Amino acid sequence: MRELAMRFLNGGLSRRGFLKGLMATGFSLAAAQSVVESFRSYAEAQEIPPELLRPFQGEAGELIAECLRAAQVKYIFFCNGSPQGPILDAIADKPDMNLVIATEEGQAVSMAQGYELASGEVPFVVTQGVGVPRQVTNLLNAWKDRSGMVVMVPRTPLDTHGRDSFEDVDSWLDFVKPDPGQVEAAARMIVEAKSPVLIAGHEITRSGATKEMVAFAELLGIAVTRERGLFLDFPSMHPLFLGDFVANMRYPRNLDLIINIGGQFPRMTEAAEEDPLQFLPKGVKIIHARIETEDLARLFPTQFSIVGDVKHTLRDLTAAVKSMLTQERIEAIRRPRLEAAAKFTAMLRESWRKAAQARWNQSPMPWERVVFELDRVMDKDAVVVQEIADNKRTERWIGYGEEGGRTLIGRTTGQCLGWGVGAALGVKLAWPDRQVVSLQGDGGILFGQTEALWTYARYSTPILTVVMNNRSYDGVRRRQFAKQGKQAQLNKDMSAYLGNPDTDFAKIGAAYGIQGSFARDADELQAALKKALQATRDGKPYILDALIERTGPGANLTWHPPFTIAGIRTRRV
Amino acid sequence: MRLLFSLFLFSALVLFPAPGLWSGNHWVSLLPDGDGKQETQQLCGSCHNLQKTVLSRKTAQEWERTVYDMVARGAQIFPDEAEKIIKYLSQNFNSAKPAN
Repeated sequence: MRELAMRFLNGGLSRRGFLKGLMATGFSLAAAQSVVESFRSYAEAQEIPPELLRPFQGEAGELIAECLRAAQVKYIFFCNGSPQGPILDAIADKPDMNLVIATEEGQAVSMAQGYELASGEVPFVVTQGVGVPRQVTNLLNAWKDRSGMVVMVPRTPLDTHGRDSFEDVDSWLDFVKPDPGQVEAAARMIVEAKSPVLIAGHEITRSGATKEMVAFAELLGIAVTRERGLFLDFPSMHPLFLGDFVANMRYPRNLDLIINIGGQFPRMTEAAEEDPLQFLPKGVKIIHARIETEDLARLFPTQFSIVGDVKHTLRDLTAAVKSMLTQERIEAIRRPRLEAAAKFTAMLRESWRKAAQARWNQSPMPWERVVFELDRVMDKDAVVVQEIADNKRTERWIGYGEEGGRTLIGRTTGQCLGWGVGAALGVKLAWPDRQVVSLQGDGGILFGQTEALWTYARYSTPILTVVMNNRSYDGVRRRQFAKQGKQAQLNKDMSAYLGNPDTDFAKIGAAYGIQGSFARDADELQAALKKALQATRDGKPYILDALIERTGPGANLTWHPPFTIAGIRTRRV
Repeated sequence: MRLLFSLFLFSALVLFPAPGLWSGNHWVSLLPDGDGKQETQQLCGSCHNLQKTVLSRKTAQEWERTVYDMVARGAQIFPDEAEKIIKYLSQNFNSAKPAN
């Protein structure tokens, strides 16, 4: 019957044909007529009367806002995300709709459902694509309670396909050894390359192959970049380590070979999205070695796709290269590359230092200062579990990845906020004898994570949680404002400012019996760190609320929509 | 009527395209000549198009903040190059210069 109904509604079946079809499935004439009658209004509704149509010209966000107005929507239950900028731009200068902002997708859905239960109106919810899994539980509640609602999520951009985006499927293979013929041919290509670069991916850490990766990179002095992955898969202070892979690499110049070991290909920059050819130099060759096969040779023309456990692959590649060259030849290739890479990475470090210098002693603090102070006091084998904005590259200030040294875990590649507090507890449970520092953003910890502190307190979990508090979804605002839409033009931060209410995270911890403090400058930070380390040594969790600066366009704005629920009352109840 | 409208729309888009429709090269062409232009074009333009750059009007201090913010976010710009770019942007994209 479902198929018949679909065909009828889609216009592929006449009313008479629908009736006949229903009778053929066993419906009586009367029953079939009743069914057809009940579907008639839906079928007719597909033809919109011309008097209800009116022309509209504008961008997609404005069109959505106009549809909501036509549907007399008063409130948008909202959870933040960069792609929602066009909708916010569309309502930034019109007071007829109000945002009801939740800090986490699941809460946005439950608020919307409460509104539906009380008002009987269909609520409209806007959340972020990666947040869909978070809201599923409350959608189930709404479904069980028969509460209807419209939930809109921006679709995944096409350029994430093949980079393990939400829709991609993983298929792991255990301990597959790479094909010797392919390894041999790939090694030949590596030996012949004039200007190669490595990308270090998360499969290196997963297979315990950091040592093999370092040995391979050092063998021919090949500089190493990283995918934006879950771990730091190459020692961050190594002179060959360049950091993120970027379009138009400055070093090595004239790139002719990319060797991706165990990772995905990084997302393109804005400039490269306009012109994808900018992402990779013309004629560059690619070797991609992974155990996960989904995105091999999927995004770029790839000369060698080597399927196998990367530890085996790295060992075999190293042996193959050594077998092709004399020690003298290896030295002749390696030495100048090592010197050039060391010079380049030293200049990069100097530029990072210089960039932070002017803001070093200010309050609110630059994020670099907080990380610098942490680096001074953390144990040599500390573990940092981070869920902070991608632009805060802690690996520039903290040495990770040395054998027996510090370890970086996070941010989750799922990017679904609300992960780090719980993940840090799991890490501590697994490594109770290593110091664990959890780096959280204020927006992230407000993503339904404060409840996890109950678990910290119950199980006396000695973790130092540092909240990098800029009272904002800083990255979201800067990306939305970069589009120069109405929010930017009118200096209206529609959704990213978190400073009202100004959350006191130390007090939130206190509600669970957890010690904590607030630091607005480096002096207060150093004092707070002493207390925090003492607390964790004593077997207790600690929350350090560190006030950091907002950056980028709109950073100085504290304006936010002045709508209040108290203000719409007609009675003081 | 429809044909006339299409022709009008086509002409309007060709003659008066919205800022978002300009290509990356258009924004580069709005960089005035001067010391630091090449660095701005190459080092800033390799990560993003220069629309926001040429449309912005900032003080020297604000440009310094912007450029160092980019470095902190991952732009591979060395200190001497950063100083050149800051000086160039401060001279050519300040409040005394009208936006194009």
